Amino acid sequence: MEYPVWVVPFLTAPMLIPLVAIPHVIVAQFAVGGGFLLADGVAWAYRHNRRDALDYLRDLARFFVLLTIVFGAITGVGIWWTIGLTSPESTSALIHVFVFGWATEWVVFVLEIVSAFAFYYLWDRLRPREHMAMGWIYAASAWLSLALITGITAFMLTTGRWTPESNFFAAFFNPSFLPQVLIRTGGSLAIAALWIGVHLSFRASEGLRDELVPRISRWAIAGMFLILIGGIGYFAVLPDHARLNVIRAPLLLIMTALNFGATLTALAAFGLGYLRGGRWINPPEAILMLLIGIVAITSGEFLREGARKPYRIERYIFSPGIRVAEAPRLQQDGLIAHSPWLQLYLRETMGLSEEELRDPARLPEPQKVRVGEALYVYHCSACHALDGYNGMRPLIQPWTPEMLADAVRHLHRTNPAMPPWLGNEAEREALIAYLIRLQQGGEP
Amino acid sequence: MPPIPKPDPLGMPIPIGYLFALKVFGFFLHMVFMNLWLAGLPVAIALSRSRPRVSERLFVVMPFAMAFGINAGIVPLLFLQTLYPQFFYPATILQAWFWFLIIPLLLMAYTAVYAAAFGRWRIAASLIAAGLLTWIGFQFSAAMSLTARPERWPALFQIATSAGGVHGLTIYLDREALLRLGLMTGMALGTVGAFLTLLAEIDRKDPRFREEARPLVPILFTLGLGLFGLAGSQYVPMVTDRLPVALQLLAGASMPIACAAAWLYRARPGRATAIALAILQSGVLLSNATARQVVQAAELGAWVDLRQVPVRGEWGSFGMFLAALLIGLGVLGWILRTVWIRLWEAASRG
Repeated sequence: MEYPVWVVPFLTAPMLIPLVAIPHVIVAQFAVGGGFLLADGVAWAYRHNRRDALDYLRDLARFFVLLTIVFGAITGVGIWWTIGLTSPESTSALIHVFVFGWATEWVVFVLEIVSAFAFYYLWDRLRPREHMAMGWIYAASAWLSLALITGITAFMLTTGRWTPESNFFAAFFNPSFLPQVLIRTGGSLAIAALWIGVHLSFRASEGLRDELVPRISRWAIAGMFLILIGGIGYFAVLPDHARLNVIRAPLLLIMTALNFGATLTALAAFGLGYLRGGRWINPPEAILMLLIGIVAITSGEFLREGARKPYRIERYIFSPGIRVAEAPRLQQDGLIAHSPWLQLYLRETMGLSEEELRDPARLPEPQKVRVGEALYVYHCSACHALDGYNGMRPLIQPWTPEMLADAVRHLHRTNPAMPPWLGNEAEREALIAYLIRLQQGGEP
Repeated sequence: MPPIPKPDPLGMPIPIGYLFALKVFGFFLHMVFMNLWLAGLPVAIALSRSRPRVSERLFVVMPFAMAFGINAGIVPLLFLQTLYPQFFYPATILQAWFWFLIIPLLLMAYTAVYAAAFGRWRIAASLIAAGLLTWIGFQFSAAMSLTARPERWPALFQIATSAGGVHGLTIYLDREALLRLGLMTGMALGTVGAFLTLLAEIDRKDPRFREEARPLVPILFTLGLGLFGLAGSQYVPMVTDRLPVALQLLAGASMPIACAAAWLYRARPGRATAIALAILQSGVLLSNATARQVVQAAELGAWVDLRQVPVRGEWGSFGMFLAALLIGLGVLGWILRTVWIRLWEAASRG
């Protein structure tokens, strides 16, 4: 807990991450799947000497290239930006473990951009073989980028055999890496096919639709099978605490149901597309299917983020940004003793002495409540806004003071998604005093 | 003593010298492309009537410059966070909303750049983009200043704190950041000049573009030198103690030399002088990128001795990165060669 904490009212700071990450994941998966579908489409069009198909695909490529390079690139950087602001300890840990994974991803992303530009802007100037090669380079580099980033995000959920002494590869090839790569690859093919369905329904002739819909459906059905295989693998390797979270938390349960429902609906639609060609597709249906696909990705991402609790990085960093290995020391010395920014606030703003910092339980009630409030900011505000997301005030409203005290005492037993209390006894009393005041509707 | 967190307990992945070199390389690469938009957009707007062909080329190239500039910007940030996370994160968290705001602003600027490149509301769009990008540049510069000034954190924290946390609505702006932005803009004018020179002399199919570009190049360099000199004369005394004299001389003298070469190009225009000018301008950027990183390292060195931080020895993943870089350069070389040949063919056909 060595960094200052950014307090975002109503939402909590970490909830800014999905705001940036979910649009990014949707766009990034568009880019990966779109890369394969475009490269395949262009190869097919050249093989059959189909000028009309090439013209259509050029129109389609414009969207993929611009969206990937503008929105995809900036939101990708944006995720990194946001996690640095909201979870500095975890970001620092990820960077120190994966720095050359990220650097490799940068190389791959350069190739993705350059090949995408060449593929689109030199559409009529490249020779067919060169054009097809550019398309496949774009697809391959986008997929490699996905695989590299998935290794890092999967590590946060399942650290596997990694320890702080082991190397990059032990962290990268973690238990949920392969399942997540399969899910994301499949999701990419599916979401790109759903978008192309929308595009086809608006911009392609009926004849071309009849030819292209079964073709993209084949890719998408293959993608759906990857999702199913990956999904089974994913649930098989989920750590116990994560599996418990999915079962216990109503929101995560809803997200799981949404994820399954949307995935199966999309699979049915692709099957129909494969069997009936372009006839089944019209703009409202295609848009509806795309929305269902977006729901599947969004719920999947939410599930992935939510299931991790009480960890930011499994068995290494707890949600409040405290290393698991440091917990016993903090529980003995106190959270304040190891939080220089919290000390700065308590000393400079509240004017507390060293002795008072060591034992805040003995402070007069108003001061104790204020110390409790600051402890709340450092220990709880990463997951609980006061009144908004996961709001603490409504959560504790029906509780008695005894229940409150008991819950804080046995935090991780009350709810397995919670970390244990990471301060000492005196600090716990201060936090309880604040929570009681909060429950009574008073401000410190 | 400011509340500086301890270095990450995972230690450095490889010795700091390598990380520092990669950081300098990344910053140099970022500067090349970022310079094109920092000065290129205002120049394109200013010349839209008097030199329409130059202006058009600059507008069209902007989306590419932004794509590669943003991409290259990842590298120095990655290695900054590897070397100095305990300084960088507090400095940005203290002004969190403003730092976070960079992402939507960048998205707006990028969209505006594309609109201008496609010729839609060109002047308005590029004015918006230029304004936003300059602001983002200034904020970056200020965040880097605060990163290296932990002694200023407590005062800012007192303004920014809310119940011990940080509301993130405070912004840190300082004179030094403004001066660095001035230095960068001066160099950027030179980079735009060198870029136009290459366009004019390598692709000779458009004589009217060449006629417009050639006399402009020394003017851009002279303006750049003026701004560089003005900002540098005030900035250098602030960092003299942190910058070795040789590097001071190299970084300071590089721009006047490049400017002189620009006038030489004006007197003897041609492919050889254009390439020489581009090489000299690369020298300006490289020497100044190195000087900036050396100053930052010296400033932070007063607070932490990175040589004391243990090294984990991530040689396996470092090797993977180098292998990817080599293969990537090979593929990149093939793509660029192919693009070059096909563009050349298209230009020959008229």
